[in-house]
Parts: sequence; structure tokens; C-alpha cells
Amino acid sequence: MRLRYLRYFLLAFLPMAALYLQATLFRRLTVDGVLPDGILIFVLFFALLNGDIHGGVYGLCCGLLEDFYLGRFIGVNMLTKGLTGYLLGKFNRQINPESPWVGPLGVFLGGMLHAALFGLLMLFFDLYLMDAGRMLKIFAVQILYQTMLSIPLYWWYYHSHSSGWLKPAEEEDRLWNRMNKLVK
Amino acid sequence: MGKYARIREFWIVLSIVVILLLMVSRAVTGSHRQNFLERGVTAMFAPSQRVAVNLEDRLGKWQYLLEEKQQLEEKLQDLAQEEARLKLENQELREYRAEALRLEALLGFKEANPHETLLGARIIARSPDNWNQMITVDQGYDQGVRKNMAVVSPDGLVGIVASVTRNTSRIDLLTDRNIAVGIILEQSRETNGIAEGTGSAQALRVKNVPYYSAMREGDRVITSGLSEIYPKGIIVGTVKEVTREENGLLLAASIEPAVHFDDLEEVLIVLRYENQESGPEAAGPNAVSDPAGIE
Repeated sequence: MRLRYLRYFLLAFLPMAALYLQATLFRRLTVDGVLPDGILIFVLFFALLNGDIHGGVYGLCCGLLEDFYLGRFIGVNMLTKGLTGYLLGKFNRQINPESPWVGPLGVFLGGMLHAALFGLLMLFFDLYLMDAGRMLKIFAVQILYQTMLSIPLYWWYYHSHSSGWLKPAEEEDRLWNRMNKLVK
Repeated sequence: MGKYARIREFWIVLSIVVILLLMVSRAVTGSHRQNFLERGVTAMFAPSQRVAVNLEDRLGKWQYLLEEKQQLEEKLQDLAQEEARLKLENQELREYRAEALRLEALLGFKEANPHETLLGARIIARSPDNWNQMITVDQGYDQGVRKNMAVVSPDGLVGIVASVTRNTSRIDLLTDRNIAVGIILEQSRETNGIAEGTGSAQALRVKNVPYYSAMREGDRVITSGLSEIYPKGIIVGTVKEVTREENGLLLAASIEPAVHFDDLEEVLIVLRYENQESGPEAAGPNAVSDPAGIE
């Protein structure tokens, strides 16, 4: 029981830590001025290991946290991260989570999906952020940076998910299964 | 052994003893002079003795060198530790020096602008994503900061206060695509239009500049003071490029901001400036307090 709460705490702590680091220390670790999206990495890992509904809900929550922090266009990150988590979570049953390539590949694909959704949303709402060329360059560098970061991070995340603090409790699984049945 | 053999042995031993005694007695009395046999033996051993002495010398030197080496290694280790400590100290001192220079510049700017009530603030966070150009500073509502106040640095205009909490404020940088500021050319005082952020820290753009404008590459651009937010005369940047817009009638310009936003660590929030129409209530009761130690 106590471990389950620790899991929830850690699931909430990880995106907050990513947000904090990106706003402070990671500013010195940019690649060509581009920051990685740590929150997206954790959403994608969670979606890959827990499935579409889990991934979608976690993505929505993490996106909401980011939107509140930024205080602009509430819903943009919520929508894009939620959808990305949901869509990548669809691969949950097709993948072998033990493979070290699953994380980087998932982050690469998820990064592209997120970039596409973000771009479409900007176009749909006619929100001008910057020139399209610069935006594409940022997305390209960001996706590669995230993919590199995900190699060690996935190793830790997967082990924590399979036998550590992030391991889901059985009763929680039953609850999610019931929710899955309701949704589907 | 026969009787003769024993007698012979006795005489041989006696002869040797006598000879040796004679040799010793000559050596002891000091009147000894080396005979050819002694000289031969000495000469025979001399080279090997020289080698042995050299060897001993060398061994002694090696031993000395080894001891020396050990001492030097210990000394080197101590020096390396000392160097690391001094490097760290030096780094800290450099940081203090850089900070002192920055604060001095802020103070200088503040003294040069006595008509503006300025509040020093330290940047505590930047945008966590690649799309928004903003910073968070450590001064908020309790220190008199309000939304829409201008933010400057000794180099020029930084941006505008976008939102305020009790002890922090979020500032939208000049380069954010949400920001627009009225500008004029510093030299000709010609009103040229509105500079907008492009989402990049390196460029602003000015659209709809009249074709007859005197704007040239290298011109300095300052705030026009036509808005309620920005005081007049704050440096915005330098014209980098002037191009003709697609319709061919108007010009567009790219402006390089005067402030290097990536290196910015402290800013000044303009709580109140001369000729501002809104009263000091916007600045709040603690408008003059300055926790960053600028005043």
C-alpha cells in the first residue's frame, strides 16, 4: 500500500522535476539553443509500458501541469501530450519492453507525433510562434536530443516499472482494467 | 700420511707463516714498498673496483632519485589538490566579479535615470520549452510589481511583466511573439513603426515601414514612448537589415536586440517613470524596496 503511494508520488514528481530542470539547469545544456522535452519523455515511457488509456490520462495531466506553469494557451500541451501518450500507448501490446531499443524508438516516434500534433494545432488556431523553418529545425534537434536522453533514462524507467518504485500494484491494475472495459 | 710428508707439510706451513709475518712486519713498520706482485694484484682488481664504486654511486643516486621521486609525487599530489582548490576559489571570485560588474552597471543605469523608479530583480527561471520567450524573476506583488510594467537592463529594453505572484513575476521577453513595442530611430527621431518579437532571441522585426523611411542598416532604434507601458528613449536594438515587403510599397526591417537575453541574470523593473499617466498606486506600497541590493 505504502509503495503504491510512493509510485503515485514518483509519477507526479518526475514531470515536475523535468519542468524545474528545463527552466533552470538544463538551460546550460541546450543543443544549438534547443531544450529537450523531459515531460514528453516520461509520458511516452509511461504510455509504452502501461497502454493507451494510462498514457492518455498521464499525458493529459502532465500537459495540464505544463500549461499551468506557462500560463498561456491552457490546453495546448494537455491536448498534444495526452493524444501522443494515447496513440503511442497503442503499441503497448506489440512491443517487448525489455528491449533497450523500445524507449529510444518510442521517444523518437512519439516526438515526431507530438511535433506533428503541435504544428497542426498551431495551424488550426492560427497561433504564430515563430517562422516555420526555425520551428522545424527546433523539432528536429529536440527529437534527436530526446532520443539520446531516452537511452539511459529508459533503462532506469523500465527497471523501476518492472521491479522498483514505479511498479503498478495489483489492485490498481484491476481498477484500470475496469476503466478500460468501460471506455472500450 | 708418511713421516716425510708430515715434515714437508710442517715446513710449508711454517714458511708461509714466516713469509706472512715478514710481510706484516714490513707493512706495520711503514717501510713497505709494493713489490711487483702486489702492484699486479692491485692493478688486476682496480678496474673491477672502479666498476663497483661506480655501481655503488649509481645505486646511491637511484636510491636518492627514488626517494626524491616519492617526495615529488607527494608534493605534486598536494599541489594538484591546492590547484583544484584555487581554481574553485578563482571561479567563485570571477563569479563575484562578474556579478559586481553587472550590479554596478545596473546601479549606473539607475543613477542615470533618476526619473524612473526601478526595482532590481534576479532571474530565477527561464522558459522550460522552446516556444515561449520568457523569464521568471524573484520580485512580485509584495515588492510593488504589477502586470504590464516595463522591464529593462543597462543594455536596453528587456520586456514586459506578464503575470505576478506574491514574490515572483513572469516577464515576457521582447523577442516573444506576443510583444510589440513602438519604436523610433535614435538619430533622426523618425517614427517608424512597431517592433515585434519573432520567437528567436536574435531578432525582432518591424513591418509596414514607409518606403521613404530613413531607416538604414546599423541605425539604433529606441522606444517611442507613445505607449503607456514603455518609457521613451530606451534602446531596443540595431537595424540589421532593411528589405522591401512583398507588395513592394513598404519596407520591413530586422532588428538585432540590444540585450543578450541568454546572458541576462538581473533586470530592472520600471515601477514608475516620468510622464506616466497612471499613478504610483500601480507600483504599490513597497515600490522603493530593493531586495537585490541595487539601491
